[in-house]
Amino acid sequence: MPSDNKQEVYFSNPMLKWVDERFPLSKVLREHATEYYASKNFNIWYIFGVLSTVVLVLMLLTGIFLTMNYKPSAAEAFNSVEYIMRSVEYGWLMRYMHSTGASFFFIVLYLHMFRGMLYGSYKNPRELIWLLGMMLYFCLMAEAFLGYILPWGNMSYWAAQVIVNLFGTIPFIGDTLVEWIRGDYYISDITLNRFFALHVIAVPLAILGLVFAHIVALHHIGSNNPDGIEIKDNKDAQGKPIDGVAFHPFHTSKDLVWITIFLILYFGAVFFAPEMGGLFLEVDNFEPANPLKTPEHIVPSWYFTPYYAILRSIPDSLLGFIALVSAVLCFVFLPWLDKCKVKSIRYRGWQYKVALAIFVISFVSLGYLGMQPSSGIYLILARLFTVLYFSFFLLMPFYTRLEKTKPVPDRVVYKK
Amino acid sequence: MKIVNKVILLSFFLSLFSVVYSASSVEKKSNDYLPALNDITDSKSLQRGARNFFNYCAGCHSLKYVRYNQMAKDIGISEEQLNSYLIFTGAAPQDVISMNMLEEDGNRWFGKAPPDLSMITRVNSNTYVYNFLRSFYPDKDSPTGVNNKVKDGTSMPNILWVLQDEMERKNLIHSFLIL
Repeated sequence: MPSDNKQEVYFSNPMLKWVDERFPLSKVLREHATEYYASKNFNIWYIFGVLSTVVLVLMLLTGIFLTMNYKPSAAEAFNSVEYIMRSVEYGWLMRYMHSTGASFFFIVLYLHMFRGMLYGSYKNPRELIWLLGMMLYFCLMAEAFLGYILPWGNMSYWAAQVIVNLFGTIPFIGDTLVEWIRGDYYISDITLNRFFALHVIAVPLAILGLVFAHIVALHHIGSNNPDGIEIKDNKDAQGKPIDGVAFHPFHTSKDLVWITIFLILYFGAVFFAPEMGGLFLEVDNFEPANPLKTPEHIVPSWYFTPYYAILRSIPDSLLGFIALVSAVLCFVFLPWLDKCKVKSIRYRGWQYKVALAIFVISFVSLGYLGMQPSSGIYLILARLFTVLYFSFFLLMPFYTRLEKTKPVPDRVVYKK
Repeated sequence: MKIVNKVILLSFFLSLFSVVYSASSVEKKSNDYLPALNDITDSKSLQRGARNFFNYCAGCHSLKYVRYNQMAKDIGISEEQLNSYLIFTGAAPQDVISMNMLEEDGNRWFGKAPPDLSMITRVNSNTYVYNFLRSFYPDKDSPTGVNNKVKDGTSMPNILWVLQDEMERKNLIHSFLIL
């Protein structure tokens, strides 16, 4: 049997052999690393999946050390964060790595999602990978929001107030629901305690499970590539995809270079700009939570500002909440909204290219507008971009049908 | 041809962003704050700052998240120097810099108890603190006899008035340097 021969080659170390007889170690390594074939023409857009795994690990590790010194109580939370920053050995590093990591998580995640939209990675047969990814995105948004509340600064408090009250706009059950989420009649110690529980165990557990499923599903189907063709359609005599190279050592060694570059940028931010001019850590959050002092502008972290701008651009609070939720949910339906058979943007018609460009402009502009006061020209622009944002999704079944696609090659190419 | 397309697309991108940003510049507030020009690598400057803090500020303001010995390490002085020049309260070097005024007393005496200053520069920036301290002016209607241009109606008296002469001379040089 061929697999037995491989097993001989796989481990020469007797200890590993012993393990391998009792645990499918070599099988897992083969299926997910040394014999997992991914396209040889991956470009820079294909590094963000690996990078998000790197950030996830950084977040879990630094989070453990933060939990050792953090006190989830309204009376002590703020003090304990300052204690971590000033008195705990390397506490400042753990805290800044964690707070900066949150922002970098969203940077790599948004780029990872954009890659999917560029090369049609959400299309048949990878719809489920996309759906699992979207569930990860929602979990991460919840995780980021919950984590944002924990330092119990003034912006933590008021962000919790605003976001939790959004659920109050739901007719009939709204008020009861809000009370149930808070566990109290206002944002209080009880709310902080349960948010802590959700942040350090419930959501991370869900994220880990989903990451596992995301990767298992991906490795079952195989990765997409910048040409949007299936490399498994072209196999050599041994049954290996001709256009694929093994994940390990080829893609891993390439990824190591990018991980190094990523870590340089990440630690650059950690050491030299952990506040990032108020984007990563907001000034109002250096003041303890104060129910009597509303910050002048309640602004969420930058990664939520596109949705926040959409929420504020609609005068009615219930409709605003519905718009906010649907703006996030829109991504889920991409595999079915996109009617074009061709996956990669390289061979798609101008309609999708223009639509995607407008979408990116809308998303980034909404992100900027979400940080500005919601009045005057800002409000007008926010409404314009909200319309453009939703048009991208809602009109997609129509404009993608009209596309005149270019012929798709049989084999992957390096340069167009 | 491809490059031309990309340039067109890029300029389209940039022009849209510029619309958003130019809209934003309309509402930006200007302030006439002087730059604080403090240099955290200048340990002599940091030591003078600590001296001034403990002589003029620490009577009313605490630094409840800062420990004496951590500060000494940060500004480059020994524990002996710390004990003999900066600790006036009998606190141990490892204690946090606390203050004995009760909050109720502070509220009664000043209208609002003097705030803890551990986070003041993170919340309001160095520039704010520097300009606040420089911006006292005589005001007969105020109980302290002074008001402040940066923070109108502040209940803090002009505590650094004894240094005013010296400050004035330095300001001349300072503003000359900025020009």
